[in-house]
Amino acid sequence: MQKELDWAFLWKNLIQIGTKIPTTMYLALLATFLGVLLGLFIALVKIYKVPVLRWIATAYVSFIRGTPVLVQLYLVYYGMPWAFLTVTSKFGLTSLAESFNPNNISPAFFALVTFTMNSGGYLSETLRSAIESIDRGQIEAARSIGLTESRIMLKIVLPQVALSALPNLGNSLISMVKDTSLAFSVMVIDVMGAAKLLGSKTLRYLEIYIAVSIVYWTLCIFLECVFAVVEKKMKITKRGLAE
Amino acid sequence: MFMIRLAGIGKSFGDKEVLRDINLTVDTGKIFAVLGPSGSGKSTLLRCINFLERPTCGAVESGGRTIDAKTATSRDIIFLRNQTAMVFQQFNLFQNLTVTGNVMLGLTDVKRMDRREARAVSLQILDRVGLSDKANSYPSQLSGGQQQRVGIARALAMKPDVLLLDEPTSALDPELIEDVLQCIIKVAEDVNAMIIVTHELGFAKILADTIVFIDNGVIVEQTDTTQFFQNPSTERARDFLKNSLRRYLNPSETLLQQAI
Ligand SMILES: Nc1ncnc2c1ncn2[C@@H]1O[C@H](COP(=O)(O)OP(=O)(O)OP(=O)(O)O)[C@@H](O)[C@H]1O
Ligand SMILES: [Mg+2]
Repeated sequence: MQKELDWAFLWKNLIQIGTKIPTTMYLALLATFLGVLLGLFIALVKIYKVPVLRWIATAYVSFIRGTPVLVQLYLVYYGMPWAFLTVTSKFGLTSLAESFNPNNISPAFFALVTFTMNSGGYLSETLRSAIESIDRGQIEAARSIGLTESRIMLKIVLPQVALSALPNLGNSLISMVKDTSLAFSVMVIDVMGAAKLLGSKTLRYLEIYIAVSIVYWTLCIFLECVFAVVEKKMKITKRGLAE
Repeated sequence: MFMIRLAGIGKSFGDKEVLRDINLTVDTGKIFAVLGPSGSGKSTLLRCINFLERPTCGAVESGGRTIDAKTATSRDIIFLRNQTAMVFQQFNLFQNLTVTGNVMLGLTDVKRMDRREARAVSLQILDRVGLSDKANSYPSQLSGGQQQRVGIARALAMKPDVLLLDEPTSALDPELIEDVLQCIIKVAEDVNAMIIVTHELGFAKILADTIVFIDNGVIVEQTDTTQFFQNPSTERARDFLKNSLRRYLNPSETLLQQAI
């Protein structure tokens, strides 16, 4: 006979799962933020056609887009310690290798690295087109009064890029919140991790997964609202109340 | 004493030679107007002066230094751009900054002026171009004429040796042109020297000391303004004036001819 859904149980566990929201948000926000920096770097490498680096950047973005995040996560999780040990032993830094035992590193770190690399790859294209769409005339005007290229980037280009890329950044953050649910595969106890643990403890998987879906859904709706408000605010300060 | 001197400036885009052996000396206090048919190289000439287009050959002398097109470093180019300022046909205002922000940026970030002082200077210049009341507006809230006056204020704030203007009224609706022309006449008193590219012959006539007539990338003649309009010394300049005048006096007829 089919068991009935236990709503009280569901609610109790939903609260329990909710206590891990900070871990999920922390991971998603930090990874998106660092991903923006990485994406910006890749975008600039491509725009300025930096020799050699641009080919690496192209291959990197293609790899990030062409492989599942979960695979990337495992690659980082197993690959980084391996690379660290290989490098340190190759250069005879055994004491360094021992003192920084990579196996002691928190799994959240590997998740952060993976999600940063992933979002950096995806965002680089968004940011590149946003940078390239800034009107050349403004850049020439900035040059004509003697501003250096880096100042122009900082004072004229990036502020406008931030505005035009904002909707995309919002979407990326929301995808990221959902993607971080994979971090449980490397033992990060985030929202999904908490759900999995509760599931295997109580064996009432359906209630638990309903609860976790409600948590993610609420979180994403909340973020959507935040971005809608921020976007509106930025539009108003930029254009005044004229529109 | 001269404010800027061009020596043997040439510019090619690929195989296409757009400017050839341009020599020009603008003395202190002088206003030069550059006239010539469309595509003759006027904009390119202006843009070569501050290296927005790097000339293919030749040199620009200003502020006691000679910047050679072949050897100029980015530092040299910045130096040259500090000697000059430019007003653009399409205004090219910084969309992310207010009117004051547009005028201030060069003062704070190039001249390293303290923010408070920079703001005070900017407001003074905005007052000069009649835009005090728009100080906190964004460019997208202004009319074309107002935007161009901000462009002029932004350039003036840099206290350039030479102010360069490339068809400052060509993108404006007819009823806004007068406003900007008046503004240029007014600020002409403040600047050390000015080179303006314009299609407004009447304006060039009252504003400029010297007319530089350019065609096919070469300076065909460089004459005192009064003389240029009364009696240009070359055939090509005479034709240019005749054509422009016809268009000016009887636009409908020209339009009619085009329509046929
Ligand atoms: N970036 C470029 N690449 C290739 N050719 C160019 C470039 N810029 C200008 N030219 C060419 O150089 C010539 C001169 O152009 P320029 O814009 O200086 O003319 P102009 O006298 O300012 O014309 P107008 O009165 O129409 O503004 C034109 O034939 C133009 O097609
Ligand atoms: Mg032109």
